[in-house]
Amino acid sequence: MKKILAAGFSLFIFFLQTHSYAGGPFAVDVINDSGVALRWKNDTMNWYLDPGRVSNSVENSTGKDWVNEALDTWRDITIPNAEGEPVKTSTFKSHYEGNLPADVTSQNSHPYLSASSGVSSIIFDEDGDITAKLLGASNRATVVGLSAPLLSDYSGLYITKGFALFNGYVLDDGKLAPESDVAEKLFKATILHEIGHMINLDHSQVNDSIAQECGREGTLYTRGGECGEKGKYIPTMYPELLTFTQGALSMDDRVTVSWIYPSTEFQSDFCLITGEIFDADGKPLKGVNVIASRADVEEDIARTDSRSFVSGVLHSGCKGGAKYYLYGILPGVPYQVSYEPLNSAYTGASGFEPNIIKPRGFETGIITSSSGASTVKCSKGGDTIEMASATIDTPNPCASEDDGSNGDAESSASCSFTTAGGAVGTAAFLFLSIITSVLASDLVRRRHEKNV
Amino acid sequence: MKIKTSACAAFLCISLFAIFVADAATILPVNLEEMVAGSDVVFRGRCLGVAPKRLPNGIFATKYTFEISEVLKGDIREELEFTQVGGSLSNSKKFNAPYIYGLPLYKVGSDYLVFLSEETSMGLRAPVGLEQGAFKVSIAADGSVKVLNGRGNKNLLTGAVGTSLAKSIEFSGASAPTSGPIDYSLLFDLVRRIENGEGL
Repeated sequence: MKKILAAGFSLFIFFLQTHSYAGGPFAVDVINDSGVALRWKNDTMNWYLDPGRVSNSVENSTGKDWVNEALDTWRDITIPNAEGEPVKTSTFKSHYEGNLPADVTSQNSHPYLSASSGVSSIIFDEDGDITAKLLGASNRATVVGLSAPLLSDYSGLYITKGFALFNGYVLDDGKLAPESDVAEKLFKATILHEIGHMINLDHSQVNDSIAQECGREGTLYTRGGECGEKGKYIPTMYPELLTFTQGALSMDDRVTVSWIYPSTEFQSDFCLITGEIFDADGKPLKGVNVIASRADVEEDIARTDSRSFVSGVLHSGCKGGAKYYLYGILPGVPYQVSYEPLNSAYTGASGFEPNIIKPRGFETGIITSSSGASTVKCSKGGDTIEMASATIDTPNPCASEDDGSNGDAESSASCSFTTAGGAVGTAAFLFLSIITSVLASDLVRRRHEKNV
Repeated sequence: MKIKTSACAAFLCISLFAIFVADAATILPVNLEEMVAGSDVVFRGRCLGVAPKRLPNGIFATKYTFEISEVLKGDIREELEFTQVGGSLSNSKKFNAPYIYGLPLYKVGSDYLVFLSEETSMGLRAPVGLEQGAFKVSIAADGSVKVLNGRGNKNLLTGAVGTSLAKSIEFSGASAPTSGPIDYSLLFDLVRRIENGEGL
């Protein structure tokens, strides 16, 4: 009996675990395959804090202030409506439950970072020892933060455990930036970014061309954390820490958290643009970055008022088609919808996961409305604009219909190490045993009946 | 009755532990000079073996075995074994461990250039800058040998103004591409120069 339960438990985890790709949620529901992003129950993340110092030079109380500031930023989301009035668009909030029982070190950190039951924690790796013990001494100075939503409840819809770890070692002695105030800003941008993951936001490459331009001008060190005037367009959830201006949320960040945790006003005051991407054979083409930006306006507004969504991101593997949903659209003003490949430079921890479906070999293009217009406009909040289906003639990683079975990720180390065809994931769900399927579906059914 | 009890127990079990997903990290850019300085060994080699395992402290890791073809730094012989935290997506699932993005994985039979950190007290090692410190070695259509890391070589040769890396690039007569595959021979030459202190 115990063996059956143990097998059921572990296989159920196989079944449930997932990760989306980018430009949207970090994790989606794969129990019901409902196309829903996971969220914290009651829209509230309950968390505990490591009582230890942030770094040699920064004490715990300061770190707590920084974390609270980041959580407040993710809570107090507003977007100007058509009248220019700021509207509260997200219902996300957090609750501080208290301190963890002891300073978290490399000796006692494992329970907080592992996918076993427990509390959600925010950890300060004061001397970088947790990072160094796991990743090697030389990486003590390269990894600034680590985070994840780790567990969900049995419904597959709600996150129950997560963590974020911040490596204070990089804060001292000019490792992150020569000036301490710049280092602090970059560290705070990292806190905001990692907490974004904890609440289930994935990376975003909105305004990627500007981020690339910034990257070409040197590293964080040589640029002193600056990316010039245009740095403000780089989202907090961009896959790389490029500038301290990522310490302020972009429109894309605000729209994404708002559609995962939507307020009534977000749904009533703004419109939605939706559509689907196909390959030349008419099969859904997942993994294409789709962007809606303000049209017929100066670059500053177009760059600012941009949001993205990766086609098919709400369903794992090759399932579920290649739909995209672009939220937070203002009524009465024109938008242009375009598509682009995901950036190939980000394949690992800092970016789009290595098992993602990432079609290559196509150029940026415009998606037209169902009537063929190059821009679209909704008349009132709550409306949905259906775009014409877009066809991109490029190899489709899902064309083989193997549902993402890459067998073993040794063959999908990162996108640069593999072919697109090998970079497809998620088929481990197929390992589900019959007994677990029966139990799981029965639970889901009963829960559904109860809700009905 | 028995089925009901089983279902109930399983329900409790999965109510507590339902899902895990993955870790995401913020990793700073590391250029070639920093990679050389931070590495314990730098080698080119073919991956011979991949063995996932759980360490005594419960951490999921993978042991990799390499047949060494060239040593650019450090003292290693024909074969090298090292254990890196995490592992492939499928093995992470088998071990009920979170999948850690950004750590390079190695495919049996493939050729790599790796800038490896020293072993930690947990017996773990990883490339410097994680995915940045592991390069896939491949043969281009023109027959030249190219290398590309997990970040598409982004930042590899940047941030070099006034450094030994800049002077090494200058001495080697090479241009400094900002990203994309580069010649193995160029990278080899630059590593040698940096390691030997030339250009300083």
